[in-house]
Amino acid sequence: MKLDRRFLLRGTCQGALAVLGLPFLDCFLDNKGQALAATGKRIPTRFNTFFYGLGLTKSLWVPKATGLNYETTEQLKPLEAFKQKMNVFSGSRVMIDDNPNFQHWSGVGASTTGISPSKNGQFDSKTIDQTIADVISRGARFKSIAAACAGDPKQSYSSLGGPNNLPAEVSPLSLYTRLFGPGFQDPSRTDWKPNPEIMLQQSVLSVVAVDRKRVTQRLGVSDQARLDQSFTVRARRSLGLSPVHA
Amino acid sequence: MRKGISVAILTAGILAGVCQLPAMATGGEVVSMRRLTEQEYRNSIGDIFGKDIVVQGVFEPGKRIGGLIEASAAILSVTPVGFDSYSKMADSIAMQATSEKARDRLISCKPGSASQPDDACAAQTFNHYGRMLFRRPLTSDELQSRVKLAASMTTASGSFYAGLRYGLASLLQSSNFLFRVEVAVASGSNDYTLDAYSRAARLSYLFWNTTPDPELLKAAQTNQLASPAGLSAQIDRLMASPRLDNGMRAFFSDMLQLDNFDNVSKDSLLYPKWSVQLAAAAREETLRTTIALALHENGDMRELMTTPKTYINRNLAAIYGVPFDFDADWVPLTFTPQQGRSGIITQISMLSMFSHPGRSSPTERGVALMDIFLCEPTPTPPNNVDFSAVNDTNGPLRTVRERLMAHATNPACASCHTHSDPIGLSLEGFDTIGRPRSTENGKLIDVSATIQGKSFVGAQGLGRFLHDNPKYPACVARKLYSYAKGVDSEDVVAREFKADTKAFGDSGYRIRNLLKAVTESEEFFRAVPPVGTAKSTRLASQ
Repeated sequence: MKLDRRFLLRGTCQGALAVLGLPFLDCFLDNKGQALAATGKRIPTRFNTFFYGLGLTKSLWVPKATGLNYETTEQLKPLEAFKQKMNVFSGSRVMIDDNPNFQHWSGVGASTTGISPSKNGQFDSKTIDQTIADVISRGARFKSIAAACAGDPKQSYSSLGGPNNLPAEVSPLSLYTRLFGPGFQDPSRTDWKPNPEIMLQQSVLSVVAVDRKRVTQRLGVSDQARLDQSFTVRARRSLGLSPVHA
Repeated sequence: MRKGISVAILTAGILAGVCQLPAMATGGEVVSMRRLTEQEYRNSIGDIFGKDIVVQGVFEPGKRIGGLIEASAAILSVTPVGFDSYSKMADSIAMQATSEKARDRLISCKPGSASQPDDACAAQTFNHYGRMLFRRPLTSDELQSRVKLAASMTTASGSFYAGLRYGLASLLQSSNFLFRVEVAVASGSNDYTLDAYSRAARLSYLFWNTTPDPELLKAAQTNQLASPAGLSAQIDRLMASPRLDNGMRAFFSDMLQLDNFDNVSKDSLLYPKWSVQLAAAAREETLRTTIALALHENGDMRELMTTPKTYINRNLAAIYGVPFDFDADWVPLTFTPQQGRSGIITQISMLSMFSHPGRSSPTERGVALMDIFLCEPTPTPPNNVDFSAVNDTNGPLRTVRERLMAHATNPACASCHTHSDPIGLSLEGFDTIGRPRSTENGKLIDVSATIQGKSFVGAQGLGRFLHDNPKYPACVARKLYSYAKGVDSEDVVAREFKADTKAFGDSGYRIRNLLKAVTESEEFFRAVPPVGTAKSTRLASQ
C-alpha cells in the first residue's frame, strides 16, 4: 500500500480514513525505511483503528471459511494483497449486562472498550487505541490522532473514558498543519535538535500545573478526575522531544 | 544558547515547585467547573485584549444534555488533544498582546529596561489581566509564580516582553480561565450560595455571553452582589445593555439546537438549492426572529409559535418563493395566512434540521419539537425494529403518513409514535428543505393531527396548539433556568423555578421578566457542594 502525504490528505477528504494512528510513515524517510535503519533506530510500532458505519453486507464481507485459505469475498477484494497479514473477526456478540441496548452504540462501545456502555454515546472506559497508545506512544509528539470525514469533531471513537471523546480533526488542512506545520522536524535528519520553543513552553506548563493542583485541592472527586484527564498532556509533552517520532 | 535555556527551565521548575504549597482559600468550596464554550472564550478574549486579537484554533465540542449543550460544560473536561490547542491559542494571544504593535495599548507600564526583568511592571500586568481572565483577583502565589516565570524567561531571552508573553500565556491556559470555577460559601446551616465573583461571572455569561466587565467585577469586590438591592441594580444594568442580544442569542441557539446546522446536509440532486450559505442564513433567520420578538419588541414569547413575521435574505427568499428586490442584506417579511407559515416552527431552520437528506421526517420533527418546546424527550427506539415499511418510498404506501401507520401497528412502536408523529405529520406541508408542497408521490398530503384529545390541521394549527399549551412557556422557563445554572434540565425539580414560571406568565410571557425572576431568585445562586470535598464529607457524617 503506497502511502504518501498526499494520500493522507486525500484519504480524509474522501472519507477513507476515519481514525488514524500516529503518522510514522516510512515514506517520510525513504521507500524502504533504509534511511531510518541507517540511524540504527527501530521502526516504531503504530496502531490504527478505522471505523465506518453501514455499507457492509454480511454475505459480501464475511469469508465463508476459517483458516488461512479462505476465499476472498467481494467486499474484501480491495484488501486481497494483504490477505496473509490480515485477520477478519466476525460474529462477535456483546453481553450488555444490565445496561440498556442502545441502537448503534452498545456494539461500538463494547467492541472498543470491552465494557457495555451505560450511557448512549459515551464510552465507559478507555478505548482500545488509547490503552495501546499508553504503551507504544511513550515519547511520541502525538500520542494519538483522530480524524473524521463527516465534518463533526464529535464523531470520534477514541476516548479516555467518560463523557469526553478525543475530538477528531475534520479538515485535511488542520490535520496537515497539526502534523507537519510549525514544530515538525524531519525525523530522518541526523542533525536533529530539540525545539527550544517546546522547552520554553514546558516552563509555562509547570506554572499552569501548579494552578491545577490548587484548584484540585478544592474539588469533588468527579471534577478532580476531569482535571486530571486534561493535564496528563503535560507528562506526555515533557517527553515530546524524541527525534524518531514524527 | 541551549545551555542558557536549560538553566532557565530548571529555575522555573524549582520556583514552580516552591509554589506547590497548598493555598487553600479560606471559606468556599468549588461547586462547579464550567468549561468555556467557543463563543464565551472568543467574547472574553475580545473584551479583555481587544477585537483585533486573532483567536485561531480548535475548540472542544460540547454535547447536548437535557436539551442543552451548556449543561455539558459542567461535565466535560479538556482532553489532551484539546489542551494542546488551548495551549497554542494561549501562546498566540499572549504573543499578539505583547507585540510591539499592541504593547502601548495593552501594557500600561514600561519596564526600566526592555532587556531586563522588571518585577513591578510584570506584577502590574499580571494582576490586571489575571483578574480579568480568572474573573477574580489572583492569589499572591498565583501572581508570584508568574512574576518569577517572566523574570527567568526575560533573563534567558534578553527581552522583558518575551517574559511577559510567557507569563500571560500561563494565565490563558490555566484551568482558572478555561473553566468558570464556581465557588460557594456557607449560608445558613446547611446551605451554600455562590460567592461574589462567581455570581458576577454567572450573571455576565448569562446576560452578555462574556467575561464580567470592570463594573461588575467592582460590584463583586465591594460585595454589592451580596445584597438584593445591589444585585438587582447590576441585573438591571446588564439587561439594559444592547449586549443582552449576545447572551440571549447564545441561549436560544442552544435551546433551539441550531448548532445541529453544522452537520445538516441535503441530497444535492434532489435539492440543488440547498447550500452552506442557505444553512447559515436559515440559522440567522431564526435567531433574528427570536431576538426581535423577545428583546426588541418585548413580545409575548408564545407568539414565537404563531408569528407571521420573519427576516429574510436573498438565499431564503428563493426557498420561501417570495421576490427579493432589496439592497439590504436582510429585510423583514410578513407571510400571508395563505402561505401556511406559523412562527419559527415553519422556518427553514426547524424544518430542515430535523429531516433526512432526501425527504422530510415527521418522526424526527415531532421528536425534536416535543423535546425543544415541551421538554418531553422521547425514549430511544427498541433495537429490533423493522423499518422496512417506513423506508420503502417506492412501494404501494405513497405518503409518509401511510407508511408510518403501517409501521405503528407494532404496539411497542406505537406508544412513542402516537406521541410524536402527529406534530410531525401536521408539518408535512413542507418538504425537507422547508418548501411548501401539497402532494407526495402524486397523492394529496393529509396534514390533520390529534394530540392529547385536541385536533388541528396543518402547521398553523400546530402553532396555535403549542401557543396555547401551558407546557411550552414552562419549558422555556425550565431551559433558561437550567442553562443559566449549567445543569441538566431533566434533573431540575419544577419547584426550583416555579416562581419564575409564574412571573413569566404574569408578565404576559416577556423574556426579560423571566430573566429577572430567575436571576433574582435565591435558587439561582444556591449550590450543593460536590461529593468528596471536605465540607460535603463533613455534612454527610453529621
